[in-house]
Order: sequence, then structure tokens, then C-alpha cells
Amino acid sequence: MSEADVIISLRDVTKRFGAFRAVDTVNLAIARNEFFALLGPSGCGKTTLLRMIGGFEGPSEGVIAVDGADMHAVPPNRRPVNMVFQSYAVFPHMTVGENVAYGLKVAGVSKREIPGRVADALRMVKLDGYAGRRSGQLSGGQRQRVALARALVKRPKVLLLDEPLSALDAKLREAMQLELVRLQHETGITFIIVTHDQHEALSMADRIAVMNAGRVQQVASPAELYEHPANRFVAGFIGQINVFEGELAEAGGDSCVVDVGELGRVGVAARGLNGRGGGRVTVAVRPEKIRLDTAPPVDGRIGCAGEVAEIAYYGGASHIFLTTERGTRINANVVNAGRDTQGAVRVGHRFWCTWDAADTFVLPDDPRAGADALSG
Amino acid sequence: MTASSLEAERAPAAARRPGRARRVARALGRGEEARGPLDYARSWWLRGFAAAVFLALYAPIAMLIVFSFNDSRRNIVWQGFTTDYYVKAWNNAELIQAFVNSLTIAATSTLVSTILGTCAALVLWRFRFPGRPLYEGLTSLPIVIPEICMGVAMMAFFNRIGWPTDLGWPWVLGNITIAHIAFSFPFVAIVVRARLVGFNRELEEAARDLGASEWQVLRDIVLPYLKPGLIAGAMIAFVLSLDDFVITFFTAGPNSVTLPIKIFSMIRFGVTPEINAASTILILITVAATVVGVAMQRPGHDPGKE
Repeated sequence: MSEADVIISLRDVTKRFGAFRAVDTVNLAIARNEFFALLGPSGCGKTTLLRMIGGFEGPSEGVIAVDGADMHAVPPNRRPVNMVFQSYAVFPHMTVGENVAYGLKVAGVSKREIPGRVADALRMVKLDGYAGRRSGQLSGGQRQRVALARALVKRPKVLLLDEPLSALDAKLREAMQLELVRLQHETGITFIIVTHDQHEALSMADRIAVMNAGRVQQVASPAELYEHPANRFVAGFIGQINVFEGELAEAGGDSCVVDVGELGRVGVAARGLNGRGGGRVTVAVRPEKIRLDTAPPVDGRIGCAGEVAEIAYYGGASHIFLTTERGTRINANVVNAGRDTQGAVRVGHRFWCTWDAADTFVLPDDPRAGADALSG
Repeated sequence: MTASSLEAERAPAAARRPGRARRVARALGRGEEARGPLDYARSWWLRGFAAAVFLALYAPIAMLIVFSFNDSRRNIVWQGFTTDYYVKAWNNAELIQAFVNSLTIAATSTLVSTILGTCAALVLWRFRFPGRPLYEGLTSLPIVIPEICMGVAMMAFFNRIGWPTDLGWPWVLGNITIAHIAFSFPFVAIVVRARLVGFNRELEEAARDLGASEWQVLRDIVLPYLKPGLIAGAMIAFVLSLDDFVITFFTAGPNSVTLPIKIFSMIRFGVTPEINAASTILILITVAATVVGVAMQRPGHDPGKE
């Protein structure tokens, strides 16, 4: 990313509340026109980070710059960013139109210009005709659109969204996801969204920063995060994962060999090894990469035998949980391609869980060290 | 337990308790269910109790108003209808002056104590500062201090600082007004504070985010939200000031007599219908102020409702 493309840059940003580090030495560069997500469990510091960009908290250390300008000591009302709050914060004593016009009014936009811009903003969020309503007469989804219009009408350089979909029901949430992506494309404004929902982040964002305990764990595109997670936390937080303990046998170059008890010696890409040359590592595979076979793996496939312990049926797919002889639990996702296919797998049946060796990834974490704390 | 077995258990229970249980069931119109706390409003003894409470509250006031039209000097036995005493009260220059004094003091004290009380509430809500609990306690102290002590303290205070007693109207009302502000603004502060508890801080942040300065946030967001609290607080302050006797008694001079004090001094010469008439007018003003206050907070237009 070239210097000119960066709209928001965070350099060594730390926020301390007493002895607690809510945000710990975060470095990020967010590009113009990007749909960027801050993803992490509650308390990971993502909202604090967003509030620091908005100007509602000051960093204890580090520099926050918006479009090249240092935001130190710049109050929220002077920053070229706008925010959609989690509670939407629609002003209850104003109509929808007055809400949207408020930001223009206090900015001193001429009285002749305001009505047109308000109407444009309301049209953009599909609320034309609602200008006279009060927030008490609106549904949650409509209130959120008001909050969006109110922020977008200011034509900010960056729009900050704090858990914008968490208060909506499932159907509406899905519709709003598409809506937000459309708005981002139409306006060309950089969106930064905070969410704890991996599906939201994966489906909407161009890039995602996964955070935990105040630190950024990985910044990458959704597919990169899912298929090449940087560590055990990211692998466990996004999607589901099957993990095996392994001992690094050979390392060097692009590939390595890991000794995994149940799988034997496995050759995998060394990409996720993070420079480690030996010791205990984690070997992992995603559940949908696993196939249930009646015969042992051949032709570049690896795997192990297990007995079906539980079946969770989800309609389109089933999650089959198997237990290996060593007691490892394996989760295999099976698509119910035909109407009767799920009948072939019953609790107590024995299968070979096999997958393409290339789908295996290796993580630098010691599988015994704080695995529970990390698995999110 | 299935529905049918529940029915089976219920049926004999109803058979054992005929009479009253059935009456209640019929009154409730929905079978044999235990009565909830609000259902007790339907029982005769609770209605009777409510009626007794209303009687004790309003019968004396009704009597007061009725006897203000009594055509009798002694005002003990009903002698016939007249409005003479209203005319007499109207022509009583001292009474009218006391009345004007009361309204002037109440209006000034309401205005000032609403502003001061709101400021105190905002400071206590918005800021963390050393000694804040102490400050909060001191603010509400005038509410709990016995009025008689406050009255004596006020009298001593104004004597000590040598408050001039020979001021012309309306400045002669100054010390009473100051005393009234001192005891009414804590009530405003408490009411406004209670309203602020429900304030969503994100509203304030959203306004800041949209470009408003701190003052614009106060004017455009916080004060409109507080409006019902401000009106309620102002009404309390107005009524407290209008009918205060004890504190006023200790601070009033011969040229600053208020209506309650005037009525008290008239009573010493016998309870005449003229006093009833003056009291009735006082009640009417208080009720009118309340009605206006309530009307200004029309339901359905609560600015705090999101």
C-alpha cells in the first residue's frame, strides 16, 4: 500500500485504563475506499480502537493519523470521520429529517443546501418519505438507516460503524450486510466496522484485522484469514478447526515435515510456521475439507480412523463428530447433497476421515500451551 | 403434567370452595386462577379504603371552598350563599399586596432555582471531581434539615450580614427570595438528576461526532431531553415557594408579608369566609400551574423516548 493510499494510519497505538491495556501497540494502515473490519471477541479492544479513531478516547501512546493529519488533541467534532453508534443514538426529540440535517446545521452549511442533501441521504438509505417521522415511530432497522444517513450526509472521509448489526434480527441483519456493502461502493467512503461476528466480517469486509487481548493477531483478506490463519487464535476464532499435536521433524524452505501421532509423518507447507525450526507445533484442518471414507487414504490424502459419536443436522449440511482411538475429537462437515445421504452415517459407524495433505496447515503454537484460552 | 390432569385436579378444588370463589371467578371472567396483586383492586374492602383516603384528603378542601361562599361572619354554620367575601378579599389592599408579594417571590425563586438546580444536577452527573460525594450530600441537605432550623438559620444569617430592612419594593422581598431559592433548588436538582440517569451518553457523542461543540450539545440535545424534568422541577419549586410558611415567617419583615403569613395573621382575629376565599384562590392557582405543567409534558411526546 503506497503512502497516498492510506486514509487511516495507527502507529504503536496503546490505550491503558489503569494497569489494563485495552489496546496494545497496534499498527494498522487502512486504505482509501476500503471496507475494513475489526473482528474479535468482546473485550478485545476493538471498540476502544474505533472510539480512538472517532476521537472519543485519546490514545495513551502512539499516533493516529487521518488522511495524513495527526489527530492528536483534535476533538470529535473537528475530525473528518463520522460514526454510527451501537445504540444508533437517533435524537429522540427530532424528526428523521432534523436528525439528518443536524450535522449540516451545526457545520454551518447554507440553509438552501440542507434540504437537498438531507433528501439525497434519505434516498440513499431508502428512507425517502420518512423525513417527518420521529424515532419513536421507527423500527430498529429504520433507526439504523437514520443513523447511517445522518453520518453519510456529512460526506466523511471515513465512516466508523460500532457493531451496527448486533441489535437486528437474523433476516434483517443479512439484508443490512448487503446494504452496507452497496452503500460503501456507491459512496466510495472508507468503512471501518467493529464486529464480534465472524460471518459479518467475512461476508462484508475487504480486509479484516483480528484482535485479541488488545493486540492485532492478523490483518488479511477474508479468504487468507480462513485458509492461512497466522496462529491458533485466528484459526479457532474464524470458522471451525480440527487440531492435532505434532512434533516438528524437518523444517527449512517452503515445506516441513511434522510427526503427528495419529497421522504419521505429514509433509505440509511451512507458510504458517513463522520461522520455527523445531519443537511442538499444532497441525490443523478445517472440517469441510474432511471426507468420510470407508478405506484408508491414498494419493496424497492423509487421515485417521474414527467412530461417529454425535451428529448435528443443519439441513443443508451435517456436522459429524468422530472420536479417534487416541481420543481426539474430529469434526467433519458433510454436505447433504442428496435427500437420503445422511442415512448412510449413523452414530457408532466407523469411518476413515481423510483430506488432501495440501489442506493441512501448521501453526506455530505449542498445542499444550494455553490452547483452551486461545480457542475462543 | 398434561392439560387434562391439571383440569382434573382443579375441578374438585373449585367444588370445595363454592360461593365466594365462584363470585370472584365470575368477576374476573376467567375461571379459577389465583388473583394477582392488581386484581385486589376489585375487592370491596380495598375500594372502601380508597374511598376513605380520598375523603380524608379532599373533604377538608371541599369544605374550605364551600364555606368561602358562606354568608356568615363567624363561618361555623351555613347561613346562605354569597360571593361577598371574594369582593371583600379583592378590596383588602393588604391581602392583595401579600398575594402579589407571594407571586413575585415564587416566580423569581422558581426561575433561579430551576437554573441553579439544573446546573448542580449536570455537574454531579457529568464530572468526577474530588469531594463530589460531599458536594452531592451538601446539595440535598436543605431537603432533610427541619424547616424550623432553616428558618432560624436564615433569620440569623440575614441579621449577621446586616441585610437592609428599609428597601423599597420589590427589593424588600430579596431575603425571602434568597431563602426560597436555597431550599427549593435541591428539589430541582434531584428531579433533573433522576431524569439524567436515563440519558444515553451515545446521544451526546453522536452530536459531537456530527460537529456540535459542547455548548451546542447542551442546547440541542441535553436540554430538550431534560424538558420534562425541568418542568416538573420548576413546578415543585413554584409550589414550595408559594405556600412556604415557616422559613418565610422568620425572614419576612413588616413590608414583605406573603399570602400564607397574611392568612395566618388574619386567622388570629377569627376564621372568616374571607380567609376561605383567599385560600380558595391560592388552591386554584396551584392547580392551574400543575395543569399547565402536565399539559406541557403531553404523553406520547416524551423527548426521552427513542
